[in-house]
Amino acid sequence: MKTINEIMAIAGGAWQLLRMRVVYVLILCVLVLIGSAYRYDVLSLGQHKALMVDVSLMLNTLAAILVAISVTFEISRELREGVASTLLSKPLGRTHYLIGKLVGISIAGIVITGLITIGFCVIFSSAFDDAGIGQTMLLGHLLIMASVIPMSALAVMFSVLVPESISAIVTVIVIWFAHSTPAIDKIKVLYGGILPDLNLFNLKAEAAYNIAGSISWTYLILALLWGIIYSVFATSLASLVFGYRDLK
Amino acid sequence: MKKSLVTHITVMIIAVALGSFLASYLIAQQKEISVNHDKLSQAPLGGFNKFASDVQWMLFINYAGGLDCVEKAEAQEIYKRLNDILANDPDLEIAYNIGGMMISNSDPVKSAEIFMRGANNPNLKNSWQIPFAAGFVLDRYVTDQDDPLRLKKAEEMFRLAASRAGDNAPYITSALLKTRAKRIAQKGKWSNIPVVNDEHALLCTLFDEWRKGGSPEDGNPQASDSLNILDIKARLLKAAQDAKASDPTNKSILDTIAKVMKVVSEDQHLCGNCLTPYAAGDKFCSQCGTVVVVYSVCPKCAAVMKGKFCASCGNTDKTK
Repeated sequence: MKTINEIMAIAGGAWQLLRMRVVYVLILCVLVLIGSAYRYDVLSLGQHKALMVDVSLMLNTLAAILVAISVTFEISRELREGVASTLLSKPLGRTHYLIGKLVGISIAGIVITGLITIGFCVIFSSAFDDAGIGQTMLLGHLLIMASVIPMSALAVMFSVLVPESISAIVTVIVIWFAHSTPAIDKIKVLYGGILPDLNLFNLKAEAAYNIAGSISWTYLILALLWGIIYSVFATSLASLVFGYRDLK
Repeated sequence: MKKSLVTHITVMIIAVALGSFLASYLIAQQKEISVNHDKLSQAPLGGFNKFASDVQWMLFINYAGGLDCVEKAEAQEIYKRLNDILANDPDLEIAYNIGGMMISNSDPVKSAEIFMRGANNPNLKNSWQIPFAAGFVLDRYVTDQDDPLRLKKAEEMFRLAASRAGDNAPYITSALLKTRAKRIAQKGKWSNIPVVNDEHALLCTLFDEWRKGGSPEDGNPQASDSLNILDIKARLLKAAQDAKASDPTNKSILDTIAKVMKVVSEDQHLCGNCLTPYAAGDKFCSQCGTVVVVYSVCPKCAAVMKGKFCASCGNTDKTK
């Protein structure tokens, strides 16, 4: 119980993100962009319905990536300013610190992507009276919400493994390529184990066309489970390296 | 520290093993969900293939809107753009329909290829328009020099369209029958009878289709392949009339008509000249005026027999 309290105390720091007004302004901008897809009916020759779903999925993914990389700045800043060493001078393990950051940013990411998903559902339902929110459409968004966990784990790992100046860039590049698995699927070494496969969370085309019965709840749960397992690996590796690091 | 190192490494090994196992299972599941997964572009687009395709599609519409006509050069550009769009989103049905049709005149081979790709996409299995367009382009625009198997492919495409459209599109059935007739005409032979012309070939095709009629329960194994043409008998008669009119003295045509009518119109009385059905008691064909064999008349008073006995004189015999 004490350990959980310690982790949640660290996680609380990461939730600062949710107290920033700019985040909600950005969510509003995202929703405006999603809604604007409705006006693309002529330019897309009637494909605006699928376009709106796809734009929402794309913006939701970008929001998830941005939230995840925000933790790289936060950990780096805390290490640079000595906040981390102050925290760690208390009876708090380095692993707890990293897990706390991961849990915090994951929850913040899930809340933000969840708000975008809810906003999308409202906009889509009001824009298209004849079409309800399909299960596949919803599961597509839930998969993106679930992808926040491994993305955050990657961000936490790189904020410890690589220098501060490049940790965010490295995180973005890795997340980008982890989503582009067809391009690197020749690398078979422990794929999904050591190398992250974020493409498992990418069924955007199926969600955009709302292909009935294509994505199941079981798939979502298993993908979420994979995300958690991968996060355990990434955090363990980060913790191992972090354990040997000299702090200010 | 040593204990911590062992714990970390153990946790990592277990996580990697579990993660790899679960990922391989999920990848297999994903390939089942996303049937076109392997056909997607290999470009590192960060998982935004669908969005890239949306943008390319709108740029394509913009480009197409600026064209006055589609010549060979424009067709090449359209084909290239379509390939890019479909590599990122193989399920964009409208791209097959509009793009394929745009280049059907100037580059029918590529147009047919685009349509066939769409027709064979499992996610577009409810669309009959794409296979119909594929069959249409192969039948009308592609030449035998371009593709010697074009008619076979066109027939397959029309059949696919017919199976998807159900009973709602009789013109698909007509197109399919005409393509089959062209194939028979191309072969030049049907049931050891030389095929003389298109009308003759259509008659052969319809007779083949008639033989497939019924249901598998009736003992006809070909029935499942049947197009279930409701007015097939009337069509056969019309085809026989057209075939005879095209070359009235040709032995092959006459042999085919005899073969067809023997089975199909066994219970009907047809004019020997124009194959028009005639009624009991008629002495001449109402269509061509040819003398016909009178049937069902009383040999005693020449009245038409409506039943077992003559209604005029009570005689029981009648002409056959």
